This record gives sequence, structure tokens and C-alpha cells, in this order.
Amino acid sequence: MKWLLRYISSSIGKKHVMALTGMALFGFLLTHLAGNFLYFLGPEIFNKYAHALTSSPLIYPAEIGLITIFVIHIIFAFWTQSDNKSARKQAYAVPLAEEHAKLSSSFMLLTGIWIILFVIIHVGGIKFGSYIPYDLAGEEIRDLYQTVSTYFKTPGTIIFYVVSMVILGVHLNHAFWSAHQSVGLSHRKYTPILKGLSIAIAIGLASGFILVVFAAALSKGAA
Amino acid sequence: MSSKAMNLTLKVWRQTGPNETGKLATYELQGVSPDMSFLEMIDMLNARLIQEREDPIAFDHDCREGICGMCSMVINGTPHGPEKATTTCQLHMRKFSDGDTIVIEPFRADAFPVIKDLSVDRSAFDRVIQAGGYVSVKTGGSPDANATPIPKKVADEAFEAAACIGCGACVAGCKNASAMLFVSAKVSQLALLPQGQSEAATRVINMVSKMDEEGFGNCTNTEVCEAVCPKEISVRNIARMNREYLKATVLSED
Amino acid sequence: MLDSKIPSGPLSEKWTEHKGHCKLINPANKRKFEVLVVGTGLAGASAAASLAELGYNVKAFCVQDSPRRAHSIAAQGGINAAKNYQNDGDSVWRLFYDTIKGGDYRSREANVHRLAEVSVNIIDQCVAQGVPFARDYGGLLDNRSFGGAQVSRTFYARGQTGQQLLLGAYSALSKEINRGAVEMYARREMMDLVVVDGKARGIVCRNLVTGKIESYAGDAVLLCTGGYGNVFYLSTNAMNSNVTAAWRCHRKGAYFANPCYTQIHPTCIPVSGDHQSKLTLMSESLRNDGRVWVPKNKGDKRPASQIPENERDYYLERKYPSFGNLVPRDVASRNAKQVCDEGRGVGDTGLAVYLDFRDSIQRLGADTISARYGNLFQMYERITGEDPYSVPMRIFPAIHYTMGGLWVDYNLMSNLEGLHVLGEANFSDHGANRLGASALMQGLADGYFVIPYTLGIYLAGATLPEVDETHDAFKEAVDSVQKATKKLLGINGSRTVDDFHKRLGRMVWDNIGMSRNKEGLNDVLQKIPKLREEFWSDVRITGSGEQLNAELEKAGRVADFLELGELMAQDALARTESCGGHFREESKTEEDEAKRDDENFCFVSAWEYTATGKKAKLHKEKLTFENVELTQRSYK
Repeated sequence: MKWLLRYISSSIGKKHVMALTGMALFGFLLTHLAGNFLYFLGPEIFNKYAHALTSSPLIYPAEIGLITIFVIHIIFAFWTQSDNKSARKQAYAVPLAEEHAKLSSSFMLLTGIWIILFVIIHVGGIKFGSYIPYDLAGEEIRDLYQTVSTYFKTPGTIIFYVVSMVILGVHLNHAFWSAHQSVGLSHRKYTPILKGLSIAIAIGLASGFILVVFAAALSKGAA
Repeated sequence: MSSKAMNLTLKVWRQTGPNETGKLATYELQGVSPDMSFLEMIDMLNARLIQEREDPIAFDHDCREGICGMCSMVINGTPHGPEKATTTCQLHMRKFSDGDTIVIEPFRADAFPVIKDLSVDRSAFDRVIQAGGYVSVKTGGSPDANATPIPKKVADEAFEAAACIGCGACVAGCKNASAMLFVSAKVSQLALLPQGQSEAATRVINMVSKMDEEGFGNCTNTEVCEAVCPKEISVRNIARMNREYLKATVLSED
Repeated sequence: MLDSKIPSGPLSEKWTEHKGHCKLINPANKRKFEVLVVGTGLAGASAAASLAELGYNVKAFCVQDSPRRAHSIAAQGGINAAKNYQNDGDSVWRLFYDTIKGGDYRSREANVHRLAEVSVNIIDQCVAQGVPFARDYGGLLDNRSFGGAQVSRTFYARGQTGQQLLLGAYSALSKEINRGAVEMYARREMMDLVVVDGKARGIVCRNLVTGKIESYAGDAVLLCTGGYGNVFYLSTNAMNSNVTAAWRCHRKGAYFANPCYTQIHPTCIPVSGDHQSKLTLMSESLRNDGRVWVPKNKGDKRPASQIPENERDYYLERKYPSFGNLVPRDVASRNAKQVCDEGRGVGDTGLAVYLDFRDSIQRLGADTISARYGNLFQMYERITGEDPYSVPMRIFPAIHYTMGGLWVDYNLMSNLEGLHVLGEANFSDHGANRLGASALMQGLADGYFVIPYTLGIYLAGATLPEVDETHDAFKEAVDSVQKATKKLLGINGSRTVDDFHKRLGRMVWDNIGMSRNKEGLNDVLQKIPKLREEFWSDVRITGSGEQLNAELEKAGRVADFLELGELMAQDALARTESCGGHFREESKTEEDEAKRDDENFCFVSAWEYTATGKKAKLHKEKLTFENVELTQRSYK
């Protein structure tokens, strides 16, 4: 196992870890969004889905796994950042011109920190948010549909979510193709397509989430 | 051909030694010909400084035709200045205008300590190459040069990686002071060619480990290195090195 | 007469026999020998790596910040080798013959034949190192015809052959540094050779970063420090290329051979003004499609496009109908100078001729021209700001290579025992003129395939008592270097080093450049010593000796150029014949071409240093040609 320690503490090993955990988190986002879209199908389906998910015996291992991946991603991000800061202690008097033009990569850490804060607020507001009972053919389950519909009635929350999703998009725009590059997936023909796809995915994912937020905001649920 | 002479304001990093603190000094320079190269403009300033019994500005340069990789300088925030695919020595003053202020700094990275003024120590690059940037063949006894055909495409790709002049602009321009483009160019060249295969795994491990040890930063895929590289070395080489590294560590049985 | 120690026997067997019968050193004993290699270009890096592989202890020194930056890196065109991969009839003999003839019969048959023999090994070696030579679609190595050769024997890596070969040698050197077999000392300038009991036993260097004068003792010294083209101030050489290491050896007793043999390259970008620090070469392949011309009338300052066809003088096509624009380098250069001297030069300075692609673009299309010369056109535009697709290029000759150098015998050892000289720094293989794509070949031949054998011959036979850096000879050398540094810093005059260098360069260019005559040479022999005196009383160097001090570095080099210039003039004056790059106006054919005098000048001039300002003493090495017949070149 000595090799593993050496590998993950090497510059490229860290990049690999960032890329793989990032790709896993991206996978989670996709399933999360798919689940969110069930909101459009009404309370019954949405709540059934949420119930199935939370009552599954796999939920705790899955949550622990997700948190672990998220934490590893964060730890490696800060680790890389600290390496990078110490690689140039004396800064330039004039900021690097080319770097200026490349915003999303420079913003990875800032957008990442925002996302951490967002996740804490989001989990607190929804997962550990208000419990409203829902009657599913005699069985009482949580009415998550109602929780969500209620949650997105305050303008502050809506704005916070929209901004956060835009920031997530910015993060993903760089992250998606960058993760491929980091594990060595680069191709003369496909990389340019991948970069285009990155933008599409960033916009698609962010607007998908925002769509659900707006749907909830406009829903007839109790204010 | 010559046109009107220019007057410039130069802000140049002056630092007397590696452990001294430096600062930007301002010089007004009159009568700069647009036909001068950037380094000839510095020569002109230095000639004046000598006349004024001041210490001339130290800077590295040698071939002045864009191939030795010795000239450096970050000009207005860009290594080797504003012209794409051009080293400082090949940059000409006609790219600037009368009345311009030009800020000139050394290549900055902890792995490239300043020796004096604009001159930095890039021997870390040599040490990275010494860690494995070669094929371990001895002189003599090599097979006939045509014994192993190499597809033209592969040879061309290897050549493009081998075009690196080791100037360090990639490090200087990267916000993380990462040397990935430099290291990956050599790793790629030898990973592509059949001659480099037998040592491919140890090469990439040793070179990356040396690169980390020298204190270069990590790559965050900003691609600025490629944008400022005077030889336009592609970041595809970085991906290839990432792949080679994966093969040599996680996927290898050693 | 000097003894070149050429082995006996038939030409084609000399080298094999020599290698086969030389004394060998037991592998266990090789590590007891310390070899100092000065310079890490093609010759130095390849020698240091190869000797370290054999087991010698090697210390290598270079003036740049890294061995990868030596000026070999700037060679564009290619490297010759008698591989005959193209099946066009090339052979070791043909490469030998072309080189001897190209050198205008002023080089040694045995050396040149050896060079042609090992040329094939060089390509094998470089490919094994991973040098990415150009390949054809079948994956085999591609060749081109270069410099007017009738066979395609030039291997190349786009326009960066020198870079790729140097990086190959640098990688071999790096491998040996990693193994601990070579100790590398960068940013060091050799200031003196240390001679003990008549043998070269060490060097004294200045550490360019700290200014410290350092001593290194060894059993042999290999000088691989390149040529002296920068004596002209403006040259295609790198700014740090200099003669200092070679000149200090000369002052310690090593003979300087044929200093007047210098090569002027015809297709350089012309000087744009007084600020110019350096000239840039463009590949002479441009002459394949470009037409050289000047206006017929003196002082015609109209733009090229306004000069009608009948007022243009395509002088090379006019004078040399069969070779046209493809005449050899020296002929093309001399003719350019001649038309400019007549006042028909173009551009602001009047020191340029046109190289016009108009007709080729019309005939072949701009795309074809761009595919052939795109990168050169780009380079030209970057430097001049003019677009050669629409305006003819302006070109002018510039000093490019120096065939002269320290005298060496067949084993590459100078007359000073233990001092070996490799690559451009020696004089041995190119005679009075070097062929295109032969410099890289010679540097690598010397380093990879000659010195590993011949150094052993010296070390196996020499008695070398223990000498270390505490020896008095080192103390004396360090002392004299420190005194010279102090003297330079103490002058505190009024002119910069560059100012003197420019004036010297102008004198050398005007009088010992493309054509030379008795009057000019005598004149310059008066002027250079005066300039030298002025230098030593009026130069201004700021700063101290204990730091990075570029002015001090330059001053030491210019001081040596000021002595070398005088020797060049003396050599050029003594050689009243014309040969190769040495054109004496007094010795020409009825057609204005160079005329050799084989009866009186079939020898190498090797000069012995006497004292600064005193005439050097001439030693001759007779050149005998047993295998080729001496003919006069003609390109009409």
C-alpha cells in the first residue's frame, strides 16, 4: 500500500482523485436531477419516489459513500490549492494576462466553497426540513412535495438557489472536460466536442435544477 | 522598415540577489526604433545605465533567434510578451506604441529563484530531465536507424512534443507555477516513440516525482501554458502524461 | 613541420586499423582518470556522455544556464550521413570527396574520410536516443538534398535539426549526470588552462553567478567551445559564443590554425540599424525558388514593385547561367557584396539585395510556396515587419561559421599534450569552406565516435603524476585571472564594451570579411592594436567581480577578440592565395573567381602565440592528397 500513498500524494495522483470523485459527484447530480423532475408528475409519484429512496436499506451506505466522496473531493481541492499557493510565494506585480481570460478555472475553489455552503443549507432546508405527513393509500409517508413547494416561496431562497445553480454550472463547465483531461482522456477529434458538451451540460444541469425551483415557486401549494 | 522612434516608460523588476527584496524601478526611454527587438531595447537602456554609472539590468539571453530558450521575462503580465508563439528575443518593438508603459518582471516561481533582476535559475528543469528524460542507450551498438519504421504520424506527434525549448514560460504563465507542460512534452515524445517504450513506466514516475520535489504547482487545466508557449506545445501532452502515469502506477503490477 | 600523426595504410582502412591497434585502458582503471569537458554543445555533450559511459570520471562545464542551450541548437538545415537510404548512389567515398572538394582542398584526407565513415553511426545513435527525424509515409527516414549536393543524404527534423540533435546529446548527458558519472557545472566560463610539465592538467573557471574563480584538476581537457564568429560583432552566432576558452589555450601554447577561414552565409536578414545586436540566418533552401536581384541603376530607391523588369539585374543568373541562384555560399555572398559596393544595394541601409518570390508564386501558387517556406516567411515577417509574399525579401550575407580553430592532430589532440579540441573549436575537417549540413555531423562524430577511442590512446600512454587544485600552477592561474578581472574593473573609462566590440567587428567585416586584400589587411593590422590599447584604457565596466556581471563577462571576451582579430589579419595576409571562404582579391581567375595556389599554399597555417602585440610564429602542416586530384572550382 506504500505505492498508493505515494500515488495519491503525487501531483498527478491528486488530479486523478479530484477527477474521479468529481465524476462520481457528477453522476449523483444527474440522478438527483432525474429525481427532481418527478416533481412535475405530481405529489404522489414524487413522494413515493422519495419514500422508496429514504426507506431503502441501502440509503445509509449510499449516503456515507456520497459524503466520503464529497469530503475527499474537498480535501484534495484544498490540498492542491495549498501546493499551488506555495509554488509562487512572490506574486507578479501585474496580474497574469492570460489567466484573466480563463475565468471558470480560476474560480474552481471559490465556486467549490460556495457549493459546500449551499449543500449544507440545502440539506438543512429540504432533507432535514419541515415534516408534513402524506397519506399513501393508508400508509403515512413524508410529503416532500409539499415541503419543497413551501420551501421555495420566499424570494431569498429562490434567489439563493438560482445563484447557486449558476455557480454550480460555472464549476461544472470547467470540471467536466477537465476531469477527462486529468485522467488522460484527450483526443484530437473528441476533446473539442467534449469541451462543447461541457458548456451544454453546465447550462443544462443548472437550468434543469432552476426549472424545478421555479416550478415549486409557482406551485399552488400552501404559502 | 524603420518608422518613427518611440518614447516608452519601462517598469523593470530590480533585485540585487536571490535573498534580497526587489522592486519595480521606472525608466523613461526615448528614441526606441520600432525595428529593434525587445532585447535590443533593453540593450539600449543598459548602455544608458552604464553611461550613468548605474548597474545595468541583468537578463538571460543567448541565441536571439528563438530557439535556445534562454530568454525569459514576463512582459505586461505575459511570459515572452504579447505576440503569440514568439520568444522575447523575437518580439519586436513595432508591437508597441509610442507612449506605452511596459512592465517587465522575471519568470516567477519558487522553483525558479531569481538570481538577479530578470535572471532566474531554471536548473530545476535540468534535474527533472536527469530523473528520466532520456532513453538509456549507450554510444555505439545501436541498430540501423531504419530497422524500426515509425509511422509518420507518430513521428510528427513526437516531434511536436520535442520542439519544447525548455524556456519555462509555461511555469511562468501558470497561476499555479505548474511545470506539467514541460515535463509532459518530454514524457510524450519518448512515450510515443518505440525507442522510449522499455523505460516508459519508470520514466514518468521518476520525472513526476522530481517535478513535485522541485516545488512546481499542480495542473488545474487552465491551458494557459499552451497559450503562452512560444513553440505552441499542446496540452494533449499533459493528458498523455496523466494517462502514462495512471498506467505506470495504478494499472501496473509493480 | 607539424606532425598530424595520420596512421599509415590505405585511406579507407586508416581509422579501422588505428582503432584496432590502439592501446586500451582496463575498465577498472578508467575511473581513475578525470576528464574535463568544456562546452556542452553537440561535441561536448556527446563526448562527456560517451566518456562517462566508458567509465571515466567526467566534469562538464558550460557558459549557459543549462547544457541544453548550447548554440548547436540553432542549426536549422540538417545533418549529412552516407547512408544511401535513397538508393541514389551515395557512399562514404562520395561524402568524403564532396567534403574535401567543398573545403577547397585545404583539409586532411584522413580526417575527412573518418568523418564520412562514422557519419552513418551518428544517425543510428540519434534514432536510438529518440531524436524525431523526419520520416516518409512508409515510416522510414526521409532525406533531402542540401547545399547543392547531387545526392539526398541530409537527415533533418523540420527546420530544427540542431535542436533535436542537441537535445539527444543533452539527454545522454543527463542520463550520465543522473548516474553520477558526470558532474555538471553550468554558468561557468573557462578563464584559463592549467599546464603542468607541458601537459594540460586542469582549468580555471569563473562562476558567473557568484563571481568566484574556481579550479578543477584533471588528466585531460576537452575543449568543445565552438567557433569565433562573434569577432565580427554581428553574426549568426549566439550572444554568448566566444573565443575566450580557445584563446586562453592558445596563449598557453596551443597553436591556432587557419584563423582566416571563415564562412559567410548569403541568406541572412539584413541589418536594420545601429541597435542591431545579432543577425538571423534563413535556410539557404530559399534560393531554390527565390530570384536574387538588384536595380540596374545606382541609387535607385524606388520600391521593388515600381522597378520594371528591364531595370532589374538578376546578377547571379546573368553571371552564372548554369548554376544561377544556386551558386555556392561564398560565391553568392561575394556577389552580393560587390553589387552593394557598387551602390546598387536596396533598403534603407543599401546593404541588402532582393530575394524575390514573385515569379515562383505566379508559377506555383502562394500555397505551394507557403508549404515549402511558410515558417521562414513567418520568421522574416516577425523580424522585419514585411510580408515576403507581396514584397521581395531583403537578404545580406553574414558570418556564420568559422572553419579555423585550434590545431589538432588525427587524434584530436592539440600540440599541447592532454588538450583535445572537438567540434567547431578545432580546425580539422572542413578545410577552407564547410559544406551545408556538415557542422552537426562533425560535432557528433568527434564526440560520440572519435574521442572515446583517441582519448584512451593519450591516457594509456601518458605519465600523469598526481596533480590537484592546490598545485602552484592553479594558484598562479587563479591569481592571473583575478588580476585581469581587477584590471578590467579598475579602468573605469568612458565607453561600453559593446562600443569596442562594434568597432572591432566593423574592422574585421570590412577587411577580413568576404574579400581581403593586402592594403586592407595591413591597414587593419595597424588599427586593431590601437583599438585594443584604447579598450584597455577607456572601457567602462560597472558593478563588481563578485556577482552576476554580464559587462565583465563581455569585456573578457572582447579583450580576446581584440587579439584574435589581429591574428586573423596576419593569417589572411600571409595566405596570398584565395581558397574557399578566404578570397584574396590579388588571387583570382580571369572570371573573378577564387584562385588557389596549390604549389605554395597546400598547407595548414598553425600559429604559435608569442606575446600580445607581437607577431605570432607560423608552423606549417603540409597537406598531401593521395586519393583525390586537386581541381579548380567553376560554376559558370
